[in-house]
Amino acid sequence: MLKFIGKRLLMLIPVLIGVSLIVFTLMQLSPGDPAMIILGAQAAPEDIAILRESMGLNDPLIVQFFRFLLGMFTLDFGTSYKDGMPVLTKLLEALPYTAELTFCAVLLALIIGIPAGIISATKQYSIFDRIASVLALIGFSTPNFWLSIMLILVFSVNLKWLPVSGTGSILHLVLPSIALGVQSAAVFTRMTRSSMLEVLNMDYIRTARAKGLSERVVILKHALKNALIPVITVVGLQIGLLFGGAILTETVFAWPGVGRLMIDSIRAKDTPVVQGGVIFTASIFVFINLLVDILYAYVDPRVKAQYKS
Amino acid sequence: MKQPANAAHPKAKNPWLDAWHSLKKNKMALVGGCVLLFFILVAIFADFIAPHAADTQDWMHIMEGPSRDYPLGTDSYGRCVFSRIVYGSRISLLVGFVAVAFSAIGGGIIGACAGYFRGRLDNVLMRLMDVLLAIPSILLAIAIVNILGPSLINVMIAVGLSSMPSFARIVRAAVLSIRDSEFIEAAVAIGDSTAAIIWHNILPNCLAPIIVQATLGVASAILSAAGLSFLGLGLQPPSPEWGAMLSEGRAYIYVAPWLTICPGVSIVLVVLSLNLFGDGLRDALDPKLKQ
Repeated sequence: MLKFIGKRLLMLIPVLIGVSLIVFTLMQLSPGDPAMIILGAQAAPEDIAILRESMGLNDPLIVQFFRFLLGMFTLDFGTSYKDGMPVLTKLLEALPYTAELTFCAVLLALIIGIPAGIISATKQYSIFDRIASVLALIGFSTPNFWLSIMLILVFSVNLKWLPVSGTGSILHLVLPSIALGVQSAAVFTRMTRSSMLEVLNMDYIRTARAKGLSERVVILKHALKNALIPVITVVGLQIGLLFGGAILTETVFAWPGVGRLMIDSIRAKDTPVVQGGVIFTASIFVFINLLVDILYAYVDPRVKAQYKS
Repeated sequence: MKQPANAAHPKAKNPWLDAWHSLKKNKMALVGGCVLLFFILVAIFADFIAPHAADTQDWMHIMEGPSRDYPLGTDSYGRCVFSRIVYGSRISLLVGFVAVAFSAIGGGIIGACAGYFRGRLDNVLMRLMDVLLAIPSILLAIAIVNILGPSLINVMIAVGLSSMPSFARIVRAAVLSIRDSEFIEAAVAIGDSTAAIIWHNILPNCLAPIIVQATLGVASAILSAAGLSFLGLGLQPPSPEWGAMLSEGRAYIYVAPWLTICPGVSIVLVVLSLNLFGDGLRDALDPKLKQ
């Protein structure tokens, strides 16, 4: 098992180097001279030239890339062009907000999605199954930024139950979590349903039923354990996706997370923050997937056995 | 040689015909297909359906609710919301289909080469795809549009590039599954070129997963493009793109909620119809499910 974890950790290095290379290339290609962005369009050409030299922007690209890569591995993403603050500080300030929002959204999605999927599978083709399937598909097809606006319209503007935007209390978290979590709830419902249906058709379930076990025990004790294994992968993927996809929800609800920081930075052409933000988010995504793989190997004896041999 | 199963058994059923019969029985997929067709027709005949031009401003009727002249009301410039949604369907469908065509061709070539040649090329190409997959697609699309600038073509390129890895993976898996089949060995033995084998023998047999992924891909491409426009990074006003309309309407949510409700419902309907149809196609084309 340790060998497996070690191998997977080593495999992360080329992926992260690749992500840095892509991000570095994209940022190099983006329009605008960093020195001019910092000093403003009215700055004297000599001042711009001096700043370019001191920022190392006149160095060959390969040197700049290795400096950037070294910085990344030492968690030094540079400083913001806008306020001179270290990018890492800005990201770490925003991180708890995105993490909090993602956690609540995934929790909500799990609470709705998994029971709905189980009931749908055990009562296949029932009215519940049909309604849940249609709702899941609608949830899956609804853009979260539009859902956010609709939730604000109903619960904040008309009913005045919940705040329109901002942070501060648990009430502020309700609408953004629903808006962000609905698509994941739909994914979990569909995944749990199909995985459960597959398991319910297996021979060992027939054996369990033949032994005279109650349907409740068969489903909750025998079927669910195996049916949830593929769902774990999807949960991991969704956490990573929500972390990146929170950009739109955070923008609508003025939620001060990583996504909103990045959008503000893109608008202000604050390249170091955008660079750092993309790498930071991609790293979290990759690490979550690694954790899921490890957890997967842990809960599924077949995968564990594969790595033992 | 294109369809080896049929060549060997001339009277065997055509798998595409089977899939069509199975699709016809799936009511949800048919509903999805009909709604999709409706939107495609609306997009094609927008000039005949829309009562006004997308950018005609009527300063006497600013932010008015639905009426006979303006079936879905007017916006802050007195433009007809219904007409803008009708014309907007052209943009959304165009972005969705072109972006997916771009990613299917690009991802298809990468996946086919990786799966067919295997070895080092496979490793390099798929690690590159892993790297692209590690960056959340909306972030990647934002970064690309940021460089290229906001325009229709650039949104298509950004959305297409960000969904290329999933096509590459699917095509690679499909190619790997038939790479060692006897009919491929036969084609190699009779001296067909590699390109001909991939084009004539491998790709036609991998079409089912590509078509399914493409249908579902159009849905997510439309969502991504609307998201980009909503953030102000996609198509710019006064373009009647649905995401841009939503973004403009957001400021007037208290006084004119129809400005955000109507484009949003249009996005949901198109994406939902694509997902319903895509789900039906997958069920019809997946031999495992048919068993």
